[in-house]
Amino acid sequence: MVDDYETAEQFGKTRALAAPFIGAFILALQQGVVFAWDWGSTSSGALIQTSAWLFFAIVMLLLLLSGGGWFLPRKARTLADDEPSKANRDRAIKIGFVVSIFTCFLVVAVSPFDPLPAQRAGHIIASMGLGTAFVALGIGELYSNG
Amino acid sequence: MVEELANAIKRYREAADLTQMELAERMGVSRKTVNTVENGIFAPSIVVALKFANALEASVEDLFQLQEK
Repeated sequence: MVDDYETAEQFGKTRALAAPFIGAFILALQQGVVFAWDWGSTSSGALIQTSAWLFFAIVMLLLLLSGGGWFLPRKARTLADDEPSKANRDRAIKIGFVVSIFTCFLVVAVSPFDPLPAQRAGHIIASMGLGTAFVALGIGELYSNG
Repeated sequence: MVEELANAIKRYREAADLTQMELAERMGVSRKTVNTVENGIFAPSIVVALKFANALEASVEDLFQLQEK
């Protein structure tokens, strides 16, 4: 029988491997929607697209802030959310924040030459922040697992 | 003068014939916590340092020292 320590260990390894892919997926999704998204449209299709992306982004943000493992037994989740994981997460969130701010700077600098719809600017900034935070989290976790 | 945290956890753990996972279970923390502290990747909180000391039957000063870089 797998105990809470082994469950936490397995979850930690899975999280370390999954986080960079989640980050890469968020960044790839951002690039993908540039061509497919009808920015600023209020058609029902565009609203469904916007709602789906907002739901996805909010779930990813909650995953980043909480460390995941929502359906693990309480003790396994506590073990998986240990001090090194919290430190890695804090560092990843800091990196994501700095990248978001730099992306804001770029948007401000580029806007006079290539005006961006507010929706697209928000999408780029959120994707860059979330994506890089997940990549940084994964790298930190892989390094910590040894 | 720049100082860093050194530790003797691996020496004490091996003297007690414990794996990282066994020490983690004795302390009530994850194996990753043991691994990161033992390898100097992460400086633990006072609570975790005391758990190491209790589990390895040593003082915190025996396990952790400040050394010049």
